[in-house]
Amino acid sequence: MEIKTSTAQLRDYLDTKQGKTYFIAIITLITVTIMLVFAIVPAVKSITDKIAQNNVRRDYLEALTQKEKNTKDLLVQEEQSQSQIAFLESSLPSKRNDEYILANLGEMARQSNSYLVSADFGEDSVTKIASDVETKSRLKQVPLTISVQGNIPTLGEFMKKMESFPMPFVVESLVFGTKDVRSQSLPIIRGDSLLIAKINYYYYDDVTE
Amino acid sequence: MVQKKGFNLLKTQVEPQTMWTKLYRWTTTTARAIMVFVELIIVVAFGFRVVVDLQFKNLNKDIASKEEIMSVLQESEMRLRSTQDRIGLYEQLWKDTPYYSNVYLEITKIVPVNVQELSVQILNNEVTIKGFADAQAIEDIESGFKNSSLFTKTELLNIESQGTDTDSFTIKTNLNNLPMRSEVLF
Repeated sequence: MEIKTSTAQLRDYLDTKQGKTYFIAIITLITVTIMLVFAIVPAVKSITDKIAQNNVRRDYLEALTQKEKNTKDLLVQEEQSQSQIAFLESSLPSKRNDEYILANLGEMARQSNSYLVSADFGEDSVTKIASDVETKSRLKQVPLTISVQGNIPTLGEFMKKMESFPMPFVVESLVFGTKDVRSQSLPIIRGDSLLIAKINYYYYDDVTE
Repeated sequence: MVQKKGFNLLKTQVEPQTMWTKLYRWTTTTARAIMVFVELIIVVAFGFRVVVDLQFKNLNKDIASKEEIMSVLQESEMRLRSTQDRIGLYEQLWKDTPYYSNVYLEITKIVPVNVQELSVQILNNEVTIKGFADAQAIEDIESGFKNSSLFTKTELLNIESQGTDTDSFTIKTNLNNLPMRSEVLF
C-alpha cells in the first residue's frame, strides 16, 4: 500500500535516494589515499631506506673491525715468529740470488767430500704450479745445471744434503756414473764419478719489499 | 476555549543536508580524525628519522676512524698477505717435490762398483743404465732392478760383446712410487 503523504516536501524527503550519501565515502577514501601516498608512505619509506643504509654501514664497520682485529693478531704473531720468517726468507727468498745458491751447493759438496765442478744458471720464468694461492704468479723458478765430482757414496751424500736443504730444489733430471769423468778429462783425484743434475730453485718475487 | 490536540504518528523527518553541510560535517569529524591520525604517524616517523639519522652520523664517524686506522695498517697487511702466500707456496713446493736420494742409493746398491763406463740417466721417471760388465754382473743388475720395489717394467735393451771379458749393456726401467720429499723428510 502506497504511503499517503501530506505534502510535496515530505514526498521529496522520502524520495531521497540512499546513493547520494556515497559522496562522503568517496571523498574519505580519496583523502585517505592522498595521505597515504603523499605523507605516510614517504615518511615510512625514508625511515626504512635510512635503516637499510645504516645496516650496510654497520656491516662494513663490522668487517673493518674484524679486519683490524685480524691484522693486529697477525702482527703479534709476526712479532713472535721472527725466526721462522727469517727461515722462510732464506728458504724462499724474495729475490733471485744465484751467489747464495752457488755458495750453498759448494758448501754441501765440500761437506760430502765432493767437488762442485760447474753450475750453469738459466733464465728465470714463472712457475707453473697448481695452487690456490692468489699471488702464485710471483713464484719464479731458476733452472740450474750442476756438475759434482766425487765417488758413488759421496755423491749420494751430496744428493741427500741437497734434497734435505730447506730451499726446495726440484730435480728435473739426473745423470751420474763413471763415464763422464774420463770423457770430460776431469782430474781423477777428485773422484771417479760425476753427477750432472738439472734442478730448479725458486724465489718469490715480492713487490712489497 | 478548548484547544484541540492531535497526534502525529509519522516518523519525524529531518530536512536532507545539502552537499556543503555534509562536507562541513565531514571536515569537522572524519577528516579531522584522519588528519590527527596522519599527524601522529608523521610525528612518530620524525622521531624515528632523527634516531636513524643520528645512527647514520655515528656510523659514518666510526667508519672514517676505522678507515684511517686501516690505511695505517695497509702496509703491514700487504706484508702479512705476502708472507701467508709465500708460506703456502713453500709448503706446496716442499710437499710436491719428488725425493731422488733413495732412488740413487738403491741404484748404487744394485749396480756393482766394477761396472765400467757406468752412466745412469733419470729423466721423466725413466731410468737408463749403460756400462760395461761381465755377463753375470749384467744378469745380477737386471734381476736387482726387477726385484726392487722402487722400479718397474725393467728390461735389458741391449747387450753387446766387446771381444773381451766385459760386454756393453743398456738396461731401461721405470721409477715406481717415487716418494715425495715431505713423505721422507717430514
